[in-house]
Formats: sequence, structure tokens, C-alpha cells
Amino acid sequence: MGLFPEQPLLLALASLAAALLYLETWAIGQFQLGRPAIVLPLVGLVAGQIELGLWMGLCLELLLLRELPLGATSPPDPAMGGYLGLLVVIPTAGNAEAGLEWRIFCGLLFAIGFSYLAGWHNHAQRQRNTRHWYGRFEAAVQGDQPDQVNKLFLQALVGSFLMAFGFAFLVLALLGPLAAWILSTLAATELNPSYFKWLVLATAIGTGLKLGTGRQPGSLTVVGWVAGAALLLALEGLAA
Amino acid sequence: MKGRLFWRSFFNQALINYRGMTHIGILWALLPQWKEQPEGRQEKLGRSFGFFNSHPYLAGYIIGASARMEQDHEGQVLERLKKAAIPPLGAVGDRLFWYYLRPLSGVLSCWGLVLGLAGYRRLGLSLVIVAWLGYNAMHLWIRWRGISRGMELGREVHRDIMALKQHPVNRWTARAFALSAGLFLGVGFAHALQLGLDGPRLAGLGLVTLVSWQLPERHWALPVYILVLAVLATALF
Repeated sequence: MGLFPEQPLLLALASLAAALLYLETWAIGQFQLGRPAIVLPLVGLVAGQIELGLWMGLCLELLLLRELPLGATSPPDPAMGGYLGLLVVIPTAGNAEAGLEWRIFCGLLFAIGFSYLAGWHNHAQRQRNTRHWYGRFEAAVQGDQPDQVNKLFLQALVGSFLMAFGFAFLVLALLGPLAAWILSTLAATELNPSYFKWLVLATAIGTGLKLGTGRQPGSLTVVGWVAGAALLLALEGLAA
Repeated sequence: MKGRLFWRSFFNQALINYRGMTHIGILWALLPQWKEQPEGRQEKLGRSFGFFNSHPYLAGYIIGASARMEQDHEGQVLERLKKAAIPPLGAVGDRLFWYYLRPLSGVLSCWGLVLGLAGYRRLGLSLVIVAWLGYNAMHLWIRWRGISRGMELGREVHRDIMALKQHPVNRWTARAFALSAGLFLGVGFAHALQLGLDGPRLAGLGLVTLVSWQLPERHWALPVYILVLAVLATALF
């Protein structure tokens, strides 16, 4: 039924990393370190499940590429969502029925769901900044108190960190066991999940790659498409 | 001073909120400056606290220009400049980084992950690192350039913002993304053929790619679509 409820220290560490991930993605620096293509293979590698991490990173990176943080929007957050989704399926590796295909299947579904939940969390953080902090900063500015502004800034930053920590902690502690139960229930059926990851990848290519190329593929995309297919098939022919 | 502004500009979205957007980050970046200049400080703090929003990497233009213009006692002009700079800074940054560079770096990283899945782990990892470093080289360059040019040009900084809009890097990044995306599609297609997927499965992949290309850009559309695919994939195949 999942690893985290039985290992509170691991749960706390995983939530701590999630909070750092949140700050890096949305608040400080924004170096894009938390992107699924970087974090998920890394977590998979550490957990000894690199293939799971690679598949989830590949699909989520492309799938949520079109969700842009434009203006005041709080789009789904694949960094946090992917990380939490991967974490809830990693502990089920010990379950003989939950093979790699089922873990990829459920990991992708949970990660997409959690990405939307993480988008809502980001919106809640902004609302908290508006309601709780705006007035305090305004008072410090009107009172000509730069030291107070500095103090409030650090307090608010710690507040953001704690809120992200709490969010990740709750998701892992409450939804983790539920996700593990869903996975083992599905894995016990006769259904075959292996085709799903290809369909997600096809969706990811369709939705993600139209970015920058508009709704229709441009001439360079078509040139690349033909060249890529020809190259791989030619290499295959040569190898044969 | 430039180094300090540069370092503090990394926090410009830290307390983004719906009333003033990224204004608290701008205020915090300029805070040490205003602490050193007590003359008219309340007005300076007030102006830095005013509404501001732009692409996070390009906010440096306004941070640098604020530092220069407040020194030159051009507070009133600064307020007008900030208002006028919001749309172009947002448009240039969103276009260059969110529409082209991030997807380009994402697709290159995905190439790395595909190589990793094919067993070429070191090569794949190197590609992911190169894609990340390339993205951040541009990111850091634009942050530094914003602050430098803002401090140098002051009220004339809008010229540099407009020049950035026409910079060839926009065009070349868009082309590189289109080409790499096409290559990714082509190799994916050829790989699907190599896998020996049967007719219905191959047709399914093609159909799903085409349908998702035209998927409505609403938040609910993607998860609903994926759920439908999950049911269909497990039930039919």
C-alpha cells in the first residue's frame, strides 16, 4: 500500500525536495531544473527504476509543453506533478503484479492529475500573497521602512516554502496509498497497459510540438520529419 | 552594484500576486539601493512597489532602468516607462523563451531520454545537460543584458527592448525548434515501424497524433483526452 506512510522520514525528505522544486520552478531563479526531462530520470536513477523515470520524463516533458505560465495564469505544473506521480508508483515496485508497464501506466495518469493539482496549489500561493502579504508590504513602503520590507520578504518566502512542503506532504501521505491501491487493483486484472504509453507519447507529440510551429506543421517540421524517418530507416537497412 | 541587482533579480517572481504581480520582487531587488539613498526614499519605494509584470527573465531591464533613472531624478518618467514596457517585455520574453527556447531545449532533452531508453545512457545524459546549459546560457545572458542596458540607457532603454524584438535569435530559435520537432516526429514514426506494431496499433498512433494536434486549448481537454485513451488502450488492445 505504498511506502511513505510507513516511513515518515522519507516522506518528509521527499516533501522537502518537492518544496525546493516548487521554489525553483516558480519563485527563485527559474533555471528549469525541475523539468520532467531532468528530474524524473534522476529520481528514477536514484530509486533504481531508471526506465520508469525515462518514460515518464519523456511523456510529461512533451505533454505539458504547451501549458505556458503566461501573464497571471497558473497552468498545470508538470515539475511538481511529475515528481509526485513518480514518487507514488516507485514504492510499488516490490509488488510482483505491478510490473513496469503498469507502473508507467499509473505513473503517467497520476502525474497528469497531480500536475493539475499542483497548478491549483500555485494559484493558492498567489492568492495567499495577495491577501496576506500585499497589505503588509504596502504599509512598510508607506511607512518608509526598508528593513521591514526585507524582513517581510524573507518571512513570505519561508511561508511559500512551508506551504509547498505541506502540499507535497499531504499529497504523498493521503493520495499515495490510494494511488498504490488503484495500481495493485488494476494490475490484478487481465487488461494490458503496454500500448498506453505509446498513445501518451503520440498525444505528447501532437500537443507539444505544435508549439512554435502553429496549428499546422511548417515546412521545416516536414523536412525534419522526412529526414528523421529516412535516416533511421537507412541506418536500420545498413545494419541489416 | 550591477552584480547585486543581477543576483537579486533572480527573486523577482518570488511573491507574485494578483494585485501588483511581480512588483514585490522588483522592490526587493532595488531595496539595497534605496537604503543607501535616503533622499526621497519613500517616493522611490512607492514607485518600485507599483504594479509591474513581464517575462521573469526580462525584468532586469526595468530593474536596471529604475536604478539609473532614480539617480537621475526621473521618477515621473520612470512610472510611465514601466507602464509602457510591460507589454513588449512580456511579448518578447514569452515568444523567445516560452514559445521557442524552452520547447527547443525540451525536445533536445527528449532526444536524450530516447537515447537513454535505447541504452545509450551517457550520450543521452550529455544531450540533456547540453540542452539545459544552452537554455540557461541564453537565460543568464538576457538577465545580465537587461540590467546592464537598463543602467546604461536609463529612459532610452525601450530602444534596446525593441531591438531585442527584431533580434535574429528569435528567428533562428524558431527554425531550430521546428526542425528538431520534425526530426523527433520522423524518428518516432520510423521507430514505431521498426517495433513491428501491427496495422491497427500504428493507425491508432497516427490518429491520436493528428487528433491531439487539434485538441482545444482548455485546461480540462487534455486530462479528459488522456483518460479516454487509457480506457481505450487497455480495453481494446
